[in-house]
Amino acid sequence: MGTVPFDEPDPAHFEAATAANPEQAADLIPEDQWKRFHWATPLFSLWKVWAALVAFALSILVQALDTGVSEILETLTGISRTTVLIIIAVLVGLSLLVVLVAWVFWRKQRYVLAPSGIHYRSGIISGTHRHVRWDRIQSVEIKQGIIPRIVGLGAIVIDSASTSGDDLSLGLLKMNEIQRLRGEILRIATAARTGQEFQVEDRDLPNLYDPDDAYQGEKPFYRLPTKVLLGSMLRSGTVLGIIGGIAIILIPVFLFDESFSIGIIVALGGAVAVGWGQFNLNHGLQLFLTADGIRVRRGLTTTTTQTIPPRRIHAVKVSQFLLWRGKDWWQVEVLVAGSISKDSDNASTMLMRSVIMPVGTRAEALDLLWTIVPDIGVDNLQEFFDDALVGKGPSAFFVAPPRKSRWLDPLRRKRNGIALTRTVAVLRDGWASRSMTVAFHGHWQGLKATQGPIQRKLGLATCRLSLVSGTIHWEGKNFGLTQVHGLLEEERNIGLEARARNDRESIDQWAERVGVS
Amino acid sequence: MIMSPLAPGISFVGISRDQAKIRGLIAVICLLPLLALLIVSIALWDLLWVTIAVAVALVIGLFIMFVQVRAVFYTGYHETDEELLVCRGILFRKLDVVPYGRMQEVTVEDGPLMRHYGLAKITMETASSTTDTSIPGVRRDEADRLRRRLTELGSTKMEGL
Repeated sequence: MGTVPFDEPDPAHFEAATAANPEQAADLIPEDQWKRFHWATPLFSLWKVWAALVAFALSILVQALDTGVSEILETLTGISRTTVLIIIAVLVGLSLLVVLVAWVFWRKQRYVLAPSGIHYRSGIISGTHRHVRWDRIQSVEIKQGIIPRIVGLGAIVIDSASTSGDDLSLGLLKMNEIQRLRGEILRIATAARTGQEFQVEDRDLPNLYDPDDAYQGEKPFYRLPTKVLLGSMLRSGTVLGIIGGIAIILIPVFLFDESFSIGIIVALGGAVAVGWGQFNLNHGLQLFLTADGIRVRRGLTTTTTQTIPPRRIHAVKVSQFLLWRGKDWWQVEVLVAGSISKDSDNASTMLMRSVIMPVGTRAEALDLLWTIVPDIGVDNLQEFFDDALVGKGPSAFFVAPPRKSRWLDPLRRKRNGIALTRTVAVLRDGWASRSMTVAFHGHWQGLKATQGPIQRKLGLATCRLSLVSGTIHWEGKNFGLTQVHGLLEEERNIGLEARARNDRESIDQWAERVGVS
Repeated sequence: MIMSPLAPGISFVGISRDQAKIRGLIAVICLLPLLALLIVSIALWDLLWVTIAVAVALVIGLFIMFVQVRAVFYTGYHETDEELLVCRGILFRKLDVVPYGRMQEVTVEDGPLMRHYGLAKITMETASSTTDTSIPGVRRDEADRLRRRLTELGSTKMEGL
């Protein structure tokens, strides 16, 4: 396949041909450029049906357990050979049907990288056409299930800034194809954003398959040991809550000699599932610094690889659970536009995914912060971070709320603090779980100040940096009214200047700074 | 001209006073059935607690109406070279600062009542779920001027995300 020339990123051209009318943009793409996914794609959709069947069988089994084991044995011995054969025949037939339907769908699924963006078509009866513009792409992620990983297949998930709808997932494709696509997409997206010219190259690469999906010239940065992951989970609030919940259920069982009820099994199952989910997601997490940004690779059964361009990060949150203090462990979370979709069904996965360092020592967390924030804007870094992470009260760096805010915020008041440096706005917060939220001046979407009736009586107000939708919020609660005036005034001026100046380093500068260019 | 205690030294352009009439009218329409119920309960039923409950609901309704109507005189906007500032509220005061370049979408809408008074509501959306700012009750021509100006400034100061 050849190259598609692209004259210039003319906004009018974009509007006319793409944004307003994706169908028209698609018509401009020759039919032979649309590409199919790997032929194995329909086979993997079979897993969902099998999983549903297993879940169904399990639920029946659990119900049966409630009625008694002897009855199950009775029923099992009562099953004749023909019944077994019929069940097997039904299962095979069902599987074939699913494969057939999936195959028909697969025939209709096509994708293409065009000058106007990434297009994806699907659907038999009603056709769907999805179009993601190059300049709207936020991040690109590679996702592999356990079996696709073994056979070297994967899917590429494209995050766009839209808050409605799912991410665009292209797959399954061969891994070398996916690596090429990712490189292409990241390259073109960067060019489109900065208004440079770009060409969409669509050529076939020599077959180099790499199970670890490594970048050329990338630098390993961090590896999460399994022991630390397990330790951090044991010390986290979720696991403690689960253990507490189970204990509450189990105590009556042992004390009053009551029999096990189905509720306990369900509760135990739920607890194990939550714990397993976290463990499975973050197991073997590794961070690499690549020429395209920070690459996060993690997962036990399903491995995901996420590449986050540092320029796309709007804020960073470094936080610590109460029980992590003894170990001085910290967690690092980033805010990337569009990475959290409003569909709440996978919100918890998304929440976990925004955490790029689930647990690490203070030095490791601050090292990671440094790769994202080159300059925190203060001279005495050591003192500043000590203050921001564990400090209390007003200090050389932080503005703290006045004493009268204790009526509204008795516990957190001492930790609350805001520091506006020349590069970032830092919020110090939390009393049981400490946190430090670093937001870039040039990236907030708006400023907000609010004052409720009680706050007014006390002469207090709340100020907020509105960041893009996600898990990180930047809200300074119950500061003095005059403090809020000052903070808003200052942040407006700094923000104005930061936006005009384009305060973030380019990806090339970044690569050079962290030493991967 | 309106001042907000959250932003001293900035004088905001107030929204149309007709918006107060609209809010009053809507409140009256909502509260009339309650008033009718109160009269009926006093006249016909001998149940004291029903009367008290309805009366309390009516008082709360009237209070909300009073606050809502009065809030119109505290709602305003201020355009600078780079940002739009909106202030709202009496009980719960709010101040929003939205840079023009951050506006993703500007919508002007009106309902039958608003159209009768020649008013419209402008809603500005950004990529943040917490800064969807709106100005209710702006004169239609002023609303259209604002929409044009905001979208125009938004695209010239295009910063995206």
